[in-house]
Amino acid sequence: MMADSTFTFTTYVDGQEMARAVTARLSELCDAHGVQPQIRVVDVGEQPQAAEEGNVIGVPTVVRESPRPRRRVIGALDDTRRVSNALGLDMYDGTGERR
Amino acid sequence: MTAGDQQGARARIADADAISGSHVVGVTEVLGGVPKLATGLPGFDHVTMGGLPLGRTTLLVGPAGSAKTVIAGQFLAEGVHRGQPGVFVTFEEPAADLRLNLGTLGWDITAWEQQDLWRFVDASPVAGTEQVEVGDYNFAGLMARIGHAVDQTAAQRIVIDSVGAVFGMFNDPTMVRSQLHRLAMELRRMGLTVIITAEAAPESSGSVSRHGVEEFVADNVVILRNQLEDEKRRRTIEVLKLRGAMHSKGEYPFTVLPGQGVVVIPLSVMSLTQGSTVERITTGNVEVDAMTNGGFFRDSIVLASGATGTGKTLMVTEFMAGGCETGDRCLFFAYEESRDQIFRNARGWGRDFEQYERDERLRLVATYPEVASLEDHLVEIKNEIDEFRPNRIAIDSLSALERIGTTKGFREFIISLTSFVKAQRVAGLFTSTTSALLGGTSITEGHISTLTDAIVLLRYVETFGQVRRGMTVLKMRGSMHDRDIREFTIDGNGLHVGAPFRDVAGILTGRVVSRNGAVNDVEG
Repeated sequence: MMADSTFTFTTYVDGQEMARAVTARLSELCDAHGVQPQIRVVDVGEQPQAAEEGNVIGVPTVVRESPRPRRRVIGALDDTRRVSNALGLDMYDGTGERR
Repeated sequence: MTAGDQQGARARIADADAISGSHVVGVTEVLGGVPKLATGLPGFDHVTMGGLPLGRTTLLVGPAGSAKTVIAGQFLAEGVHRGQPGVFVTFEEPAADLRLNLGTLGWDITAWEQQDLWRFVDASPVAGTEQVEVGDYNFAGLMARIGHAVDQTAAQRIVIDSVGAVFGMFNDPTMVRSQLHRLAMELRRMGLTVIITAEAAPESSGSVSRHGVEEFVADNVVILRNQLEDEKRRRTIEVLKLRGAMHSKGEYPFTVLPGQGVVVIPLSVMSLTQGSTVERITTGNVEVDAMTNGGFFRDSIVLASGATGTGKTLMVTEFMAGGCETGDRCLFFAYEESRDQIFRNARGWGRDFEQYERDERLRLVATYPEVASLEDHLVEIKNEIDEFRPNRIAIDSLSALERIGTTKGFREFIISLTSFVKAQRVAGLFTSTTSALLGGTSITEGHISTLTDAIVLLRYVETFGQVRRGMTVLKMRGSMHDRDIREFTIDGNGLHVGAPFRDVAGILTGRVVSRNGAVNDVEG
């Protein structure tokens, strides 16, 4: 696995159900591109200060922390093509190599 | 929400339920209405008859640059002064900018934040952070942040500035609308008194605010307007509705002043509760005292009207000097002449204004009318009166102020000025310049004549190759007075009243005719 195919994310969610759904969906999308995700989950109800620092309004919000620049996606990550594009996953083929 | 948060929320609900009396500091009880929170906007609490209804949501609607943010900030600052913490949720200006901008009003917001009296929830857009929307979302993130800030400070007041900016951040207005609705319900449930700012809708839309937010958020609607009228800017505030509470109808002008923020001019709302006195004060001239049957009343407003050069400024000078000599504190607003000119003129008439100022019996405020708006002048006059605490004031002249405002604005200025002066129980002498040299009236008179207690006319009188001066007391409420039109002269000691004009008519209209065709002579 190439070092530069590791992505770190922060996902801001409300409650465990949303946390599970978003984490699963994000992992699935990363897998499809051979990208290794590191996901930090912030439950806004439990960590409102972290939500303040992240300037989060809507949930779920997914922030790609690295590689830089930061990218931000809000919503349930429904549309695979658009989410992959927004988070920069579509720069990678299925083996984690850059296209 | 954590257990602690929920406990906080429950405590607030209990508070909200318990709010039926006036045990909360700064709450005013209004007869037959709902309890209200003072807004901290000078004048506006008169218009709202006590402030904004406690525990309700008020929508503050206005175009860009109509001072929505300043008003919202003043509302929170007033809370801080009264021991009621507040939360400022900003979607437009970053908190750092607001700290600076609102700080110019003399508030140390950073210190308030350290004391848990003020919190920002900074939801302003971060430059360079683009956001892509994919699928459904809700505003739980925002709610958690607001709930946290409210709990940390035990806030009672909250400001959301502005909802228009929220619509700008997301693609789906329907989603934003439903989320904001939930937010508004939640704030209400928490028992907070809320101001939500919004952009005004175009007149044609039939809606008050853009996105029609008033339909779901607001118990109360306050509208700000910023209009150009005769090339002069006029800002007004209007309470459109205040659900279940009394308020004054119509638009009220306001101004934004450095160091003070928004000041609303409540006009006729000011109550005319002052009593009247029979105490007389000298006009500064024994002969004029005689014409007025012993001088002006202590709490009366007198208008002196005349063409340029007829002696209005002299009357004012004598009125001020007469006050200083009898122990009154006198405040002189001059809008036509400079300080030096006024001092020199006074000296020419044998009055030493420098000495009166040194003795702190006189204060002269000489300002060029065009440097500020009518509203600003009015506030300055009020501030000077509050600070100097005079027994007498003089304004020379109202006509100079007339030219800087619209007709409507000037009328409001006059009403507000006279009601304020009357409420202070000081004697006022205002001058008005007629446009015609002979006879004539001014717009000023039309506006002020019914509000004044006495009117003195100064007129040029042309009699067969001579221009002389005539004076008459046209009205004087509650007092006998001389009904003659008397000739007067001016010399190095001031004004001298002589005998009445006889055998001529038409002095007031400026068309003097002789009764018998003979050379007009002054009797006696």
